[in-house]
Amino acid sequence: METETCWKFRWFWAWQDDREEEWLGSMSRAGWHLDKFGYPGVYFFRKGEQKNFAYRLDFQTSRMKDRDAYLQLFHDAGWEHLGNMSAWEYFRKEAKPGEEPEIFTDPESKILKYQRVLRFLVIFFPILFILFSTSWRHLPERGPMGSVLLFITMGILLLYAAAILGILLRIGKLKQTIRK
Amino acid sequence: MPKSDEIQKYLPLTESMFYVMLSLVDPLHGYGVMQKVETISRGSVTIGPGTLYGMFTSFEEEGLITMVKEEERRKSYLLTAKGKRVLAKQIERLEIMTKCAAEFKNRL
Repeated sequence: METETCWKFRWFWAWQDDREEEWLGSMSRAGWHLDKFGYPGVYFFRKGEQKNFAYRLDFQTSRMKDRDAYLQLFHDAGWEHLGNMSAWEYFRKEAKPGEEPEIFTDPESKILKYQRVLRFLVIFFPILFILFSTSWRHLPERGPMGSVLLFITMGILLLYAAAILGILLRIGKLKQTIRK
Repeated sequence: MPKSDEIQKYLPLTESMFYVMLSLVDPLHGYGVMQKVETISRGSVTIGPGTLYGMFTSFEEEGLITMVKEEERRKSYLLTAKGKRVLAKQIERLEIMTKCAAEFKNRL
């Protein structure tokens, strides 16, 4: 018998990764378990029995020295690695009632995760900025097409700024939870 | 021999860092550290794999721990001499706190 599958498109912002985790968890509690993904925002689910899975996301770039050891550590701790969507690594673990398993157990390491996201975003900022300033300078020559291009790059730049701000706020909130 | 400043900059250790370092007085791999921390802290501290991986990376970069074995993608680490000095200083601080706790607890 063929199992039921479905797919969903869902975008998430880098500073709202916990909402993504909750959403995936609620899908599993309804019997839809994350199966395949990889393209930005596209998720495939497979129907099964309802399960209380905790989904958790980590952010790791190629700077990470030893991916094998990293994945082994999560595996040993009972976390299933589902794959990655760009630099986001997806893990899940079945949670006992009243239990909320975490991959990051202190605010310090959560802050480090968002700092990795931030570093990643900052690298691309100059490229975006150059794109923006060139489309601005060539505006008169290009006519209506030039304005469209300018608006698009401006939109991307604004989103970018929002993402950086969102993550900075997130880090700020986490820092408040650290009592020294 | 590192200067005392070099040791001082790690202090105070967070609770998680303290227990992870304690558990590495003998060589141990990642999952072993998680279990040992839970045991020696009487269940008061749990360490997730994301947190532990980050600590292994930064502790190794700082020369507080060193990798002693790699078996089937599992790396075992051990505290270095520098790591031991940091831990010893932290324990000194904790002993002062414990003495203070004993002196003041009846006044609360």
